[in-house]
Amino acid sequence: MSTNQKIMRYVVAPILLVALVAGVLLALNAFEFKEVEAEAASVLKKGSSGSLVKTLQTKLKRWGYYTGSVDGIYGSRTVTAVKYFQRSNGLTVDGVVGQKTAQALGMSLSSGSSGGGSYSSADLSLLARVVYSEARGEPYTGQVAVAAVVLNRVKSSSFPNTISGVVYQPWAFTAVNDGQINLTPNDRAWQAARDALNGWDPTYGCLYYYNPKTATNSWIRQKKVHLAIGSHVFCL
Amino acid sequence: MKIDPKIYKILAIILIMLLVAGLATTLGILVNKEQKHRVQMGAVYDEAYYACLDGLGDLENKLSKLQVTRYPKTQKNLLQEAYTDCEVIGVSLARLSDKNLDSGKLLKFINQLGGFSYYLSQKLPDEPITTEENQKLIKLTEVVTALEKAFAEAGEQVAVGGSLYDELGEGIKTLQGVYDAFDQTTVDYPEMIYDGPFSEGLLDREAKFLKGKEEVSADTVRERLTSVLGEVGEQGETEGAIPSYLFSIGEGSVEVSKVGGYIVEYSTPHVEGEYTATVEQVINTATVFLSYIGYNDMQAVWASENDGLVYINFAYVKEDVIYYPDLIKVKISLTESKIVGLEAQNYLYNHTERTLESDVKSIDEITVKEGFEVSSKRLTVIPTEWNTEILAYEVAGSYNDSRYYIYYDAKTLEEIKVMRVIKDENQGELIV
Repeated sequence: MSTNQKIMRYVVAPILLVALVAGVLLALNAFEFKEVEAEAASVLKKGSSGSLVKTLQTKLKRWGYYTGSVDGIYGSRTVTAVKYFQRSNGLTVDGVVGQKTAQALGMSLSSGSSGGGSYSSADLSLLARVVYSEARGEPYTGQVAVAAVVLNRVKSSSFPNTISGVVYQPWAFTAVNDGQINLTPNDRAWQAARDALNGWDPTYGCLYYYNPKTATNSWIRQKKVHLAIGSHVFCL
Repeated sequence: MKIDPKIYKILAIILIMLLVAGLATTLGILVNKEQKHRVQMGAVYDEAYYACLDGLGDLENKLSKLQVTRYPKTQKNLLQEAYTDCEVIGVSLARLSDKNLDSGKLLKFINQLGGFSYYLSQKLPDEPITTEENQKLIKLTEVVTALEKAFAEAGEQVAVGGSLYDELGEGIKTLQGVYDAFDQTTVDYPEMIYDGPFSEGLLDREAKFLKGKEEVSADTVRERLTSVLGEVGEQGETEGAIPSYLFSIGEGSVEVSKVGGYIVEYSTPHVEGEYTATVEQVINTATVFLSYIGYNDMQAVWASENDGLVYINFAYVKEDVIYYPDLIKVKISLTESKIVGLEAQNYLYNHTERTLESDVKSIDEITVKEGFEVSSKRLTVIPTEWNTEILAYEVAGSYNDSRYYIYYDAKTLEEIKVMRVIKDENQGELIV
């Protein structure tokens, strides 16, 4: 055996294996970290973004503390506005929206709070997550259509009678099975979900959709296609 | 310098030992985690199974009692309880689905039975159960009894002391047996055709407004759309209740009925930024837009604003009567001052010229609860959950800082519906 071969066999190969195991262990740990991170995001500060920041800016603007645009980005103008608000309301002036400032603003930081209409904001939030995880690459109408399918299922007798029941019905949505449902939805997804809850249904009552390029289920392919939007086809 | 090859060997052995130990630990952690999950999942699964079994027993019990009593109030109570049981069974049944297990048909049966019970209970005590309806109930009770038995047997087949989930393969197979038996002709249950929730009768609705109108070509539609909404892109088609042309427009799309050429659905996302219009202005814009595209005599009855996006509900108005079933929703962006969405399915399905009943009581005879401040009263037509329409007086007003809409049957002045305006600072605001 040459020296090179020996090195390969006794040094490089074991090191690679150890690296692999270490990688697996790290990946497992990383997975747990991810869960913790999601829960810890209950403070809004410079650099934060999303619908909560938008709610914050809207409130500050309405009460005259903020003059910038409602863009969902916690920039220096938002910091100034928050400080102004804190000073006027006898709070610690740090420019960070923690539990106390949030309370004074009358907003909740623990969950997505941009609801609307007569449906609950939990429903809207769940629907937005389905839209984002199932159809974020689709045209806007395709996103509204996915949300509408969920709501059509709620109305149908062959499916559970609540939004959560439909979404979490075992094996009903791939995004639930692979955990993508827990991703944070973007602004488009919220808009699409809100449209559907307000009655928009581009599918005219469809109960199923699939991507004809990737769908493996032969049973669903037997259904009559009613329309195609983006990469999805919708059927009854 | 020359290193003794033995050192390589020792190093290698140590590394391999470390590796094995590492792997064993990882495997141990994984197996442990998986076992914990299994037990937890098993408990959820078993709970759903027992809730189903229990619910079916309760349901059978109530349906049987129904055959004995002839007292309408008791019947009403029993039917309402049966409806609740169906809801519970439905939730649990949905949780017992699996990739290869289709509980859809069974769920449909349970939901329809629930809907039927609810429908009958709503009619009681004024309208008694007919002989025909009772025949259906007897048949349905038989099916429920058979179902309960099959469910119980499926559970017994699984090893004593084990959980259904642990015996997943076996448990699923036995349940599949129940579902299959249900799918095939062995179980024969009457079709539940009535005008209520989950009835088969609602599936084949006809768009009343489009009846008798002429078909329009895709080119004509494209031309008209371009003049109304701007350049439209690719074209497709939508089958189903209202056959339509589907055009892409910007990032969204618009659907136009082939018959009559009316816009059915239109939606595009809106861009946030500075407001360039007020809600009052856009309500006007929307009203003009609606008549321009062929939806005449529409009045804004409700608007809510959210992040610069206004949703406005328009209802058809004739001789000061508001027709809520003929509803069109318009979505307008306050930042772009333009219409970014429209939804007209309700209008297309329901709109037709009606003749109103004349034997109504006077609006002045309505009495409201003390402390309720009335702000407006008007005659309306409202849709019911049975897909019918009722002539009703709408009384709007406030009580304890909340706004309410109360509806009274115009013929009897009986209160039929109370709606409360849910208002939240984060959410939409009632404007009209």
